[in-house]
Parts: sequence; structure tokens; C-alpha cells
Amino acid sequence: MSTKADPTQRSSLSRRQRLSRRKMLVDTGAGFGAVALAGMMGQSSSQAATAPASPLSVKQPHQKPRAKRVIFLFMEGGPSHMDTFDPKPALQKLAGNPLPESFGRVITAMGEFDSPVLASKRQWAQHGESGLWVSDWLPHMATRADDLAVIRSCWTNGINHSGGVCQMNTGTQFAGRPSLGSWVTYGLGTENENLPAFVVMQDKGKAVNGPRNWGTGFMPAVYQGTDLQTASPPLTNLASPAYINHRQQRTELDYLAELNRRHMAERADNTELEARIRSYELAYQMQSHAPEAVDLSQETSETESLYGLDQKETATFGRMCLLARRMVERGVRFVQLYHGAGSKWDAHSKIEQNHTKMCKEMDKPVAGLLTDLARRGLLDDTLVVWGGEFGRTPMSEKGDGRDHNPTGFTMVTAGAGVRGGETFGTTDEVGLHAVDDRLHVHDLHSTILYALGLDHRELIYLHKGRPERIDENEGRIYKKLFA
Amino acid sequence: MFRFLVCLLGVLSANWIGTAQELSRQQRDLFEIHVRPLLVTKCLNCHSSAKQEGRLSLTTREDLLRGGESGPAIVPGKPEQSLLLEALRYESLEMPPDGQVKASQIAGISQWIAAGAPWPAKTVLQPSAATSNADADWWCYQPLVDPEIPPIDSDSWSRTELDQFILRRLLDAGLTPAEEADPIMLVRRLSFAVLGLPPDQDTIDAALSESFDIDAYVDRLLDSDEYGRNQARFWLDLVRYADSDGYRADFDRPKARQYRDYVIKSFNHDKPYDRFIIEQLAGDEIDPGNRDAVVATMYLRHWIYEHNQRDVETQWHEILSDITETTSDVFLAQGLKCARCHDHKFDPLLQKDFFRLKAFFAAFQPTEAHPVATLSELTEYRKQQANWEDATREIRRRLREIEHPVLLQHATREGFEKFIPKIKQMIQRWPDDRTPYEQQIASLAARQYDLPRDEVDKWLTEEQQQERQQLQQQLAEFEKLKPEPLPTMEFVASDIGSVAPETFIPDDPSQTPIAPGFLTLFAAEPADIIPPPAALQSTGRRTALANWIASPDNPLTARVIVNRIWQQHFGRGLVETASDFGHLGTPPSHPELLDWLALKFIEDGWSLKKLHRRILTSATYRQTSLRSLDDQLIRIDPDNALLWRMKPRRLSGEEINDAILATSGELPNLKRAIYKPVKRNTPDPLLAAFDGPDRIRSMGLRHQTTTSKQALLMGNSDWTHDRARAIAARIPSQHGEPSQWITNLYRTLFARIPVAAEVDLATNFLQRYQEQTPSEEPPEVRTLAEMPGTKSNAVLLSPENPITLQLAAEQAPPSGDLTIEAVILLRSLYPDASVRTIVAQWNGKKSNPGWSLGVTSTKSAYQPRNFILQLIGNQNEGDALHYEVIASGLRPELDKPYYLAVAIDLDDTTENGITFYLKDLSKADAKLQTAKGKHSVTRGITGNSDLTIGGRQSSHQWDGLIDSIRIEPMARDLTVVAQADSEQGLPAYAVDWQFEDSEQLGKDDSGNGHHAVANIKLPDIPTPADRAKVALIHALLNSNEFIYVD
Repeated sequence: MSTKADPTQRSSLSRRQRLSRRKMLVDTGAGFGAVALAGMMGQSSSQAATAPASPLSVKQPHQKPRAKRVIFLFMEGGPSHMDTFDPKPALQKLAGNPLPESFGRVITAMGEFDSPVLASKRQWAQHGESGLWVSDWLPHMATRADDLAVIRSCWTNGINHSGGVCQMNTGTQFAGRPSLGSWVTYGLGTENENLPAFVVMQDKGKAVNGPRNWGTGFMPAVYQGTDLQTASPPLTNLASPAYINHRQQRTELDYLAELNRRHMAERADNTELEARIRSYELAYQMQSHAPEAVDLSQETSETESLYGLDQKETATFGRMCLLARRMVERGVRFVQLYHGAGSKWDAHSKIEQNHTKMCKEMDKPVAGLLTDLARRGLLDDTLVVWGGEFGRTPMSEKGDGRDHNPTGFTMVTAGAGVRGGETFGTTDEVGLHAVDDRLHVHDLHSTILYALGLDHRELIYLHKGRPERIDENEGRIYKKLFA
Repeated sequence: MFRFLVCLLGVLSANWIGTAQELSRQQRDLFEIHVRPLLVTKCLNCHSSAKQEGRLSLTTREDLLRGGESGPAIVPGKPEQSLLLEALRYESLEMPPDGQVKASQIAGISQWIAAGAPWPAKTVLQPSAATSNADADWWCYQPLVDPEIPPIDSDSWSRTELDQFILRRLLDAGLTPAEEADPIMLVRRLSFAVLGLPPDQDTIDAALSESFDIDAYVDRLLDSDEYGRNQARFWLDLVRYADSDGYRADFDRPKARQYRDYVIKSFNHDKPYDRFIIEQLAGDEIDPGNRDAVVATMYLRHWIYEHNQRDVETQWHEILSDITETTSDVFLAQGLKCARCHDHKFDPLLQKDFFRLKAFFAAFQPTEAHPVATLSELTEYRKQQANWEDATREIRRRLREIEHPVLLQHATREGFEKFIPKIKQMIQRWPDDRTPYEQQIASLAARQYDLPRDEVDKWLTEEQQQERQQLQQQLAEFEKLKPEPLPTMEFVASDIGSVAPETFIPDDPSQTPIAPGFLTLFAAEPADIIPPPAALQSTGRRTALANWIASPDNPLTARVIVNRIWQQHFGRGLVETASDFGHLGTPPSHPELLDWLALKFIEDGWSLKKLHRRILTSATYRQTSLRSLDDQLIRIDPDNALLWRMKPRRLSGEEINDAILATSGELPNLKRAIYKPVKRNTPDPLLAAFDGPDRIRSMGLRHQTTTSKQALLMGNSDWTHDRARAIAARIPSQHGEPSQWITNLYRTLFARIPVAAEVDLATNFLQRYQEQTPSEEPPEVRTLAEMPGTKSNAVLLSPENPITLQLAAEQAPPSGDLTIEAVILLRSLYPDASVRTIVAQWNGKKSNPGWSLGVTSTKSAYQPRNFILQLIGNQNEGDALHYEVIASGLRPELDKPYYLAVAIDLDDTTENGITFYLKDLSKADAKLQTAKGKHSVTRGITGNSDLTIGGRQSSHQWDGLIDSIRIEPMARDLTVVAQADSEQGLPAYAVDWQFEDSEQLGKDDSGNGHHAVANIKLPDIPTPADRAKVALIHALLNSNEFIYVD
């Protein structure tokens, strides 16, 4: 894969150079793109005639990375933090009453106000050596309690699904910016170009906003996520039509390569042509590698049951989690799994039924994934992130549900040297607002990049006169998360 | 920027001496030397009461102690715990963002915090209020200057003055231009450049001749309607055109395509660009009776929209901001997005400027029923309307009081209840009592629900119902006062009225209204708005903005569009950053040329076609792209900024789509890519793979990536393989030597003749591929199947099944009065209006006589599944042929056996002339249905067409079974036959086909020997040679030569 020189820009300038970089941006006519590209390629622009490295080739991070890859488990629709990882005894006391006056008049996302507090029906227990509080909805994840670093103080601006999902993916509620996975791919490239660098899987539905969630916004499409089907064929257009056999295809590709080489002979300095020749070979490689990557027949039945593939409720997400492990094993940089794609976690009413089902579907697969990653030595350098676009309110909606809560919710991380078994930040006594160590989505993104050795302040893409960053210049790394 | 801040400090210093009274001298110095200057110059622009980034203000000591979202800014006495210091040191937050302050300054702050952060009493710091004009001398803000045409000695290269600008710079750099491209290369380049399509074969032939006139060819191209279809793509990228809302539901925008067609038409008619701008921004104000001008305002409608966003006000401001940013990007190439939140860090654009521009749109009202009428029509209409409104106000008010609360309570779709009280109140308020802003918000909110007006009665008390009825009666009495409704348009733009809501900078505590104005650096005072005639009910603000943008005096507008067209043709603009002329963009490579082109463009009446022509006929454009990069070029201009050769170009996704369809002959049946609906959440796979933008934000230059996803799509998708087959079918195969075929193929696909080595390569490929292709056996054809219901054999017919059954015209019995009976089973209908034919003696042309019996399909004007008779003959002796359809109204269902028949009495033109019969054979007790029909054709239906079964010739074919067909040369009353006591005696069939024996499929049992000839046409099984040819074409479609233009 390749891209034209211009859009592929990346800063690897040290902090000391930054002032002069600014100056350069303003003063020189060369433009940031050219400068950054030359830096990235380790060549002067006058040598541009040599074939460019693929924009997806491995790039060195800014600092020593803790994680080489990310698995983002997106619980779409917004799981309730007060019923999973953030126990609030006050809910039982206040149940049926409005919030204490100190909260002011809270209007929920659905427009309800003065709604009474809804008690949590969960049984809570401490788990692992660390004694992490996990509710009885998550018995399997609880067995991995010592891996889980629970951030209880997240907040976001998105009050509804479209904006919230968009923000958790791109940093803002409004469409048009690159997704986190795209930034990571842009910043680090991939270790295996025979598979997409950034892979997305969805369970039964379609994620809110569709492919925009893993799109590149203003960045080149080469960094976008690829929607992987969990059944074969895993990628669109992966195979030729049935009437074309392997030998025929190879013969045609050889002829095509010969045509392109002849065409290029007169155009030797046009590196795009070379890149396009290469793209056909890569595609050809992908045709054999991608089906292998999703071929679960190589897995033992012990592994399959670890992920819950042998149970009806857990089979779908279990399969996705197992595929995620196979992907990261093969060098895929960023894997995002949507559980409950299409806002299925959105328990406005009957949260008992809804979350019982949703938790059950993903609890064992997630625990299985953590166990499997750990025993294969992958958990040490894989960052696993679990959470939704927001949390849920302590107040009831429609009597037995909870509304969207963007002002305080939990995200859980594991692997990559996070301080497993610990909790970070707090919400207020009922779980409505994040209080201590508030982490905005921007902070979360910056922290994920940090785990990957990327400095969110230096991972810059110049667009329409703006040096753009994932965090819109507002993120802070939450270093406490790491040991 | 720094310079002016220094001056400013001097001014400020006069003020602050006196205020620092209660501090010790030392404390005061700490504050005044280290703190105040730093905060004022570096921090307060974003962190003052006017504007609190991160909810942080730094104007008082209390502010610092309170801090913002990230916590307190300082902890007095504890520098190491103070966030302010952390930020200045770039340890966590990085402040100020445009560059770290000096270490000595940081040390000063640290000292001050350590000393307990002393602050003079009552001192409130003020941000620097001045505007910066220091950078206003950046090139793009300067007036256009008519440059001298660079003189060049003995210049035999230049074709136009444009070339002299280019040549001068090349020569000055010690370079020379490249040779002219050969005509064939030029023809392909030009055809794609102007039409987005490959050249046709005639053009290629012509280009091979000596006398080919390229300039005339450019003119022909620009005259083609395909020009607009190509040019529109670039514009639609800029204005982020789409046919759907974006966001979760991504609802369709069925009317948006009118804008697309408007853009295409505008380019084809070479609408002056200034007019094009004005129509889009203010067509409703400047030409209210002109449909095109009103459609143009859909430019203001392409923002993404969330159909259930309860935060109505935020969404509204997002919409207005989006329009403001897009307008600034598209027409002015000024990246205003930064200025939305703060003064632009690099460009002399102020935050205020963003809101000054936004204020031009403050009265904007998206409307779904905008009157299209001239000013005088509107004036008259408004007058009458006002009369009616005045006369009925009280009635309507009362009616609303009764209905509205109930309707809101029962509002459907997203409903009403979810809105916050503030929005609810706006909605509940009587429209006349709403402020313009409330009107905007209420109407945006109202898009989320429907009011079930028809059902309102059931929620009213009896008393209310009565009153409502009375009121409605009263209201009806005034109906005569109401003006005739005017024609209206949906999905266009207007103003909310003649008064605009005020525009504020959010977080500005003073909430000073911002008047509409142009960029401050051009004119600090507010814009002059001329109110339009009252009947327009508009503010005239958008017209004022449009006139300013579309003015020859605006230094940006002409330069921006000229540069965009240049970019389109050379792959790179004279200003490389075509949508950003600011400091973070690049200055023009040829500033004089840019100005010259811009001035010529204005002089030419803002004609885009003339601009294209000026560029496309230049020697610069005609350079070959094949010049290689040598040592000298690498040293002097490796990026080709000086244009020492043409830059080759990859086709866009649209062009790839269109080129393939043009080559396969499937245009214009399959429409060009510009007509594909743009669904934001489900983009077209081909266009998206080839860097088509998401159409969410304005896009001035597409990325150009090369990915394996593209290779998979082009290499493996059925679409490209199918197109390759269609191309193969179009290029006649010669037997024997494939060289001529290969040559034709090269001409069609690459617009050139292959060299011998290429022919050899292709020939070898064909051979090798053929060897690797297993031969395929034709499938066995089944001719008969059992008819359910009758249990006898029936012929199996389908459009795919290769059986034809016909009786030659000369053997067919004469057509006059007829009774035709058949037993049939129909499997499917055509998706269009074609007829499923049972039997016919007609070739389908209305210029030929005949008759046909069949069943209508999906889109038939006679309803689908209607048993019909078609007659083509004369109404009277000697008349011209008349075509008529007699529809029975009898409608056989699919997949059921039926007996059906028609009796035709040609002479009888009454109701009894035609009798249809239908009986369901799947039910034992089904009744024989009959229907009558009138006809007017009385003679001359016998033609020279063959009698065909299950189709007419090779079209309008049957799909299913036909068990028997019997034709009797008389009009028989079958109800009588059905009663089995016919007075007319036993039937005497002219033809009696039973389709029982696969060996004698068309056997006639009537004894008349009218045996139909059965033709079993085996499906075309591609031979290995055919497969190889398709593969060759497929390879060429995938080749770089096809995808790139030299």
C-alpha cells in the first residue's frame, strides 16, 4: 500500500525542536507535509524518486511503548457503571426518591427530570488478590480482577448514541475526524501488511454511525479500519468469482504485472505506479492470509470453550474475541469489537433484563480473551479497553431503566502494564458525575496513545491549516494508570 | 503578532501602577514583572471572562485558585503542585499552545507561586482587545495586481501568454519545458480532463491524422453536456453534497438531487461564477421567481443533520457554524474553523470574524415550502395572506388553544415530551409571539415530530369538539380571502423573516451582539446590509455576503476558483493548499500568473469554460508527462513545482466507473457515477475505495491512496469481471490471428495502437490462460415438466431457458375471428412493463400487424398480472395500423395452474367483441371467470410474423409452464362449451399443441400439421478462448495504463 507524498505526514520532532517547527510551519514555503515526510522517510525530498515506503510500514513510536497493539471492546449503547464496576450503596438508600438537592435539577438525556433514584439489584463482592469490586453480572471478568484497571471517572460530551459513539471513536461528537484506530495506524503502521492494520468486528447488528466510526475523516483512507466479517469470507472481494481458479488468477496477475512494468519503464520516477503494482501482490497475499486468520478450525476445543463458543449466548461474541486474539497474534495493530452493535446496551427500560443478557453475552468471552492473551504472553504488550460511549444514570427512566450518563462512567483497561486490580478516579455518591481524576474522552485517547508509545501532542496531521491531533489539543495523559 | 503585543503592554502599563496598593514592593514586582505580562500576552486570549477554554479564567487570583476543568491553576506556596506551572513547562497540558514560554518566565511564575501568589487588590486582568493587522500583508489579502507578461526572447514554445509566466520561471531556474505530448496522449488527457470519460473512437481516428485541430477539440469537449457531469464532481466535494442526513438513521434527502442537477446545468451553461456564488448563497433573495436560483440555495442545506437530537439549540448552532466554515473554505479558502474557538494562531483572523461571518446566516431558515414567485406575485400574495391572517387571527388562536396542547401530547415519531422546558415553551408559543430565534429553534424541533391533526377530535371533550367545529366553520367562511397558493419548493433556504436573531460569541459574558461583517482585516466596521423588499420577508444579509464574495474587488474569490481549476488540471494548485490560502498553507508558486488568471477570469465575465480553455490550450498543459527526472531536475525542482512536465494523474473513482461503462457500451443506460446517490453512512464501495470523500466536510483536494482494498475490488469483484465480459461482447472476435482483436482492444481501452511486443505479450497470455482453463460442459436442457393441476406434461419456458417454439408465418392459420385456449403456470413477472407472452403472431413492432396474448408485468400501466390481448390492425378498411390493448382484469396468480382463453369476434366492436376466460386449476371447485372487452381493430391483424409460443421473437418471454395451446378459427362462447352442450358442435382446432413429447415438442394434434418448430438454443458456454479474452480485458482494466492518464 502506498499513498502520495503529500498527505502522509508525521511528526517525530522532539519537544526541543517544536518552537522552530512552529516557525518552520509559518515561514517556509515547503509546507509541513513535505518536511514531515522527508523526516519520516529518512531521505531528502530530492531523493523522492526512490520508491516510497508503504504508509503502513512499521514506524517507531515516540517513546518506549508499553503496548504494541490495542483491543477495544466497545459495549455499544452504554453499560451501567453502577451495576458493574462502580458500586454505589447510596442508591439503595435513595431508591425511589429524587436526587438530593445538592445535585440541582438534573435533566437526563431523554429529557426526564426529577426522576427517582433506581436501586441497583446487584450483589457485589471483592475479587482477586486486589479485592476489586465487581458485580454479580460479571462473574467471569471477576476472575480476571487482578488484570483490570478500572477508571471510574470518565466523562464525555455526547449525550446521545450517535454523538457519544462518534466521540469515543474520534474525540468529537461531530463527524469528520479520524478514529482512534486510524490515528494509531497512522502513527505506528502495521507489522503485517497481509492483513488490514486496523480491524473492526460487529456482533449481530450494525454499529451506530456505521463505518464512520472507524473512518479516517480528513486523513487518507489507507489508515481506516476494515470491517471484518466473522464468517468466511472475512473481507469483501477477497476471492475471485467462482469460475476463476487459482492458476488462472495467478496467470492474469503475472500478465498484469508485466503490463504495469512495461508501462512504468517510461515513467520510472512515478512511485505511485510502483505502489500500485505492489498493492496487487499484497491483495493476493491477503487472499490467502485473511481466510487463515479467521479459520478457527486450528483452535482446540478447550480454547473454544474458554471463550464460550460452546454456549449459545456467548458463541457470537466469543468468536469475535477469539478472532481478535488471532488478529493481534498476526500483527494487527488495532482491533475493535462492537458488542451490542446498534445500541443494544441502551437500557432505558428493563435494565435487569437487558443487562443480564448483555453481560452474559460478553462476560465469559472477555474473560476468556484475557486468560488466553495472558497464557500466550500477549497480555503484557496488548492493551485491552472495555467500555461504552457513556454510562447510565442513577435515576430511573420509565421506572425500571437508566438513561444515558455522559458525566460520569467507567472504562476498564487491562494488559500493557496497567495497574490491574486497582480503581482510578471516583464518581459522586450516586455515580452521576465524575469527581476525582476526571478523565475526558480526550484524556482516555491520549492515554491509550501513551501506552502505545505515541505522544498525543506529537502525533499531528496537518489539515486545512490546522495541526490536528486526536485530542483536539486538550488531552492529558493519565499516567497513574500504569505501573 | 508578537510585535503588536509588545506595544500593547506599553499602553496597559499606564493603568496598573495605581492599583497595586496593598502589596509590598517586592510582592508587587513579582506580580507585575512575571505574572501580569505573561497572563495578558499568553493566556487571557483564551482564559478570560470573555472566553473560558477548559472553563478556566485567569483574570483574578480567585480565578486561578478556582481553576477549571483540570483543577485549580495554582496552589499558593506550592509551585510543584500548581497546574499552571505544569502547563507552562509542557509537562501535562501544553500552554500556551503556540510555543513554550522562556525558562526565565517560567521561573518567575514559580517564584511568584512560592511567594504565595500575591495579587494586587481588585485587579482584574483584561485580555488584549486589539486586532492584529500586522499579518494582513500576507499575499492573499492583497488586491489583485495586473502583472506584466514576462517577456521572453525568441520564444517559440509559448502558445499563450499564460505560457510566458511558466517559461520565464523555468528559464530563470535554468530549465526548459518538456516536449509536447503526442496527439493521442493529448486526446486522452483532454477527454478525461473535461468530460471525465475516455475519447471515442472517432476522435482517436481523427487524432491520428495530421490535420487534427486540438484547440477545436477542446471547444467541442467544453460544449459537451458531459463536461458539466464531470465538473460537478469537484464542486459537490467542496460543498459536501449528499443525498442523506448522515448520523445514525442517515435518512434520505430525496430533493437534494435537484441541487446536483443545478450544478451540472450551471457548468454546462457556463453560468458566470459570480452569479453561481450569489445564487447559492442568496438565490431566494435576488431572484425569488427563478426556480434555478431557489434550487441553488440548497447549497445551504448540505449539513449533516441528526433527526432526534434533543439538544436543539446546539444542533442549530452547529448547522450555522458548519455553513459559515464551509462558505469560508469553499469561496475564500480561509480556514475559519480555528477562529470558531479562538483567534487564529497563524492567520490574521479573529474569533470575532467567525461570528461576524456567521451573523450573515443568523436569519437562515431551512424551508420545505418556499414560494417560487416573482416579487410582484409575492407582494400580491403576501398582501392577501395578511388580510386573511388579520381577519382570522382570533379564530385561529382559539383553535390552536384547543388543538395544539392535545396534538403535542400525541405527537408522533420522536414526540414532544422529550424536549427540555425551554424548547417546549418555544414550541408552545403562538408563532406570532415567538422571536425570530425562537421561531428557528421551534421549527428545527418541529422536524422531529408530526402532529396527528386528523385524530384530534378523539382527545377532545365534547364541548371542545363542538367549539372546534364552529371555529372551523367560521374559518372556512374566510376561505375566499385566501390567496391562490404559490408554487413552492422543498429543501431550500430562506430567512426567518426580515429581522435576524442576534449573534453572540458563546461564553462572552457581556453577550455583545455581533453584527454581520467581513473579515476584520478587510473592513473593521459592520457590513452594509440593504433590506430587501418587505414581501421577501428576508434580511438581505446573505445577499450582502454574496455580493462581497462575488465582487471583483475581493482579492480571494477569483484567485481561489482559478487556483482550484488549475489544481484540477495540473494535480496541484498554483497555491498547493487550495482550500487554505492562510499562513499554514503555501504561498503561490507563480503569484503573478495566479493574479493574471484571476483578472482574465473576471474580465471574461467569470466564465469557467473560458478559464478551462485558457489552461487547456496552453503549451504548458500540452507538455508530455514522460520526461524523466534527471540530475539537474532533481537538484533544481524535484517536485515539478515549475511545471517542467505534465503530472500524470490517477483517475478518480467516478472516472474509473464511467470509463469502464463507456468502454463496455453500458453508458448511457447505466448512469454516470455523478448520479449515484451519496449515502453518507453507506458510501459507494468503488468511489469510497478510490478516495471519494465522506461528504461531511468540505473537501478541496481528494487524497490519493493506493491500497490493497482497491486491488481486491478491481481484481475480484463481479462488477469488473462482468464489465470485462460486456466489453468482450462488444469487440468482435476474429477467428484465427488475435492480433487485430488485441489492437482493437488497445484502441478501445487505452486509446492507442499497441506495439508488436504488446501484441505478442497479449497473444501469449491468451494462449497460456486458455491452456489453464478447463472446458465447461453445457448444462442439460430440460424441455418438459409436469403441470400441477393437470398432471400432464408442459413445456418449460423461461427467459433463461433456451427453447423457442414457432410456426413459420406462411404455415400459420389465417388470423381472423379466433378462440385461443391455453393452460399455463406463470413463475414471475418482469420488473418493468414487459409482457409475459403466451402466444403471439406479432413481432412486437407497432408498425406490423398481429396479435398477442399474455400477462402484464410489474410496471404495467394496466396493473401487473393482468391477462391481456394486444391487437394491431386496422379499424376500418384502408386506415393506418392501430395498436390497442384489451385488458381483461382477470389476474392469474403466480405459481398456480390456470386455464385461460380468449374469444375474439373481430366484427363485433361492442362489449361482447372480446371475451376472456380464466379458471384456477389448483382448486377442484374453482369457477370459470369471464370478462368482456371492447376493441376497435376489426381487420388486418394477419401479418407476416411467425406464430410464436412463450414469447414474441426473443423478447417479452414467458417464465413458467405452458401445458397446451389450442387455436380455433372462430369466436366460440366457451361458457357454453364448459357446460358441455355446445350448439356449435365440437371444436375444430386449427392448432392443438399439447407439449407432451420431448422428442416432438411442437407436435400439432389438430390434424392440420401445424407442427411448431422447437429450437433448443444451448446457452453460450464460454470456451476457454472466450474466458481468456475476458481475462485479458480484465487485466487491461486493472492496469496502470487504464487507471492513469499521462
